[in-house]
Amino acid sequence: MNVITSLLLLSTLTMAGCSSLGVKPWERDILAREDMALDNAPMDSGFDDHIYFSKEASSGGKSFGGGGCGCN
Amino acid sequence: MKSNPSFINKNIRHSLTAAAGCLLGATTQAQTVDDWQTDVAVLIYNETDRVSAFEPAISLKKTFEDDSVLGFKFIYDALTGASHNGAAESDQVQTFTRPSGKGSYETSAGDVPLDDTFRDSRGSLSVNYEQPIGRFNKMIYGGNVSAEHDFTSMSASATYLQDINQRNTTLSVGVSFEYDDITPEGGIPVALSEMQVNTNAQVRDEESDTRTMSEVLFGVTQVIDRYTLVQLNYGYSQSSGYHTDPYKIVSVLNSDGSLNAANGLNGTYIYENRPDSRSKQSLFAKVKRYIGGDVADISYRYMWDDWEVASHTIDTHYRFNMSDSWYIEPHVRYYQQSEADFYRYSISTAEQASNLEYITADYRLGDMTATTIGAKVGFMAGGYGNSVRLEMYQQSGDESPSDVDALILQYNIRF
Repeated sequence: MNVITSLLLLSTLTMAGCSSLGVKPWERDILAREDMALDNAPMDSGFDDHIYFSKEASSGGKSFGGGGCGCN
Repeated sequence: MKSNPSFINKNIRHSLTAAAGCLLGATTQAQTVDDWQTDVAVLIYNETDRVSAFEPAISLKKTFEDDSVLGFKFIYDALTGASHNGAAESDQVQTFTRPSGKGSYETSAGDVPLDDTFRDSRGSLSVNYEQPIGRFNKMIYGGNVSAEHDFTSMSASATYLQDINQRNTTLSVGVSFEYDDITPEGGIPVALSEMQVNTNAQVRDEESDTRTMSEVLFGVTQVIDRYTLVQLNYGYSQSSGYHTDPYKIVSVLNSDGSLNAANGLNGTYIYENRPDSRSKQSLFAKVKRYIGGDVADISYRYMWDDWEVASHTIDTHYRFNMSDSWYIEPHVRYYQQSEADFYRYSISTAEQASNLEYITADYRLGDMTATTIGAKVGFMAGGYGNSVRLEMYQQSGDESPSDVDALILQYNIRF
């Protein structure tokens, strides 16, 4: 539970600090670029998630995956 | 050459749409309402002397007038080649019974024992639907079904996203549930039982077994400045049911390391056994930054579980936008994991006689490092966005079954 407590604390601090971070709506031109999307190549990341899931003992963390396989 | 709106978005309408939708729109790609966006890709994954995979995929996405987004993705996966069966290398020839119990295969002295009849095909269908609730929040629903001849998986997920701080912060919480059905070739072998020569009967449990997994994922995405985005996630998953790999065995060796002939084979091998539950946690952080026309994308994940596996993953992409119509994107990934507490490369006859509960010799649960190095090139051709990526993936660990070299080649086209 220590990890969760730390995370909650971190999130609270982040959110408190966030009020001074960020941009105005008219300053989003760069952030709106397709190559600035958090996952700008979903095909690549989907394939990669599947490869690494089947070859390593770790998976997930980024988003919900596309389902399991019998490989692990 | 035509300018490429999908690479460099100079379209004012897109900018305004994205400005209005950000950050909720940060995970989606700007596109024109009413059009189906189609992505077609083919992946070739080829390991030296082991598994090869050929995977075509198609994804369709449409944004509706109410800003809802519907997406489908279908993947076909054809696998052939050889896979490590779990047994240790030996200076003697080894013979193994095939998973079906019909037939056998041999491994030469000094070679990694590989089952060379590995062949499977897999189909996977995913559906995603994004539904705005108000101006500052939305839901994303997902569903997935995948099937191969010995494995079926179904999953569903729901994620809630809320924008705050003038849309500079997005908070998300998601849950997912997965159900897997495992029907191995030949049935499920009794855990820890000894492999028999193919003319003997192998003791088996049921024909099939199941596993379920529940997962929750909390996320914060923050705009730092006009050029920088940060994402932080925490994930927790709990799975229960059959986690064992029914095709994997563990070598039981004499105290001098030699093979111990038994059951009609020239060595003793027991079927592995894993715990029937696993809880995993992960912390994930990602930074995206625009640097003078280029884009850096760096992420780190720490994952740990109650099998004592802990891993670090660092993933970096740097996209050099050479012009509006083409880019080069090098990619470097580094992965390191510690072994599960029940991982052993092999055991002794004395250990077999003791009260073994869980054991695996699957190198994927052993100490391991892995690196991926490669690059992607994106370009416009025929009015469509194309990309080709070529990467080398290399695994290494304490023993030779962990030494895997693979080539990843992928081609994408977007209509």
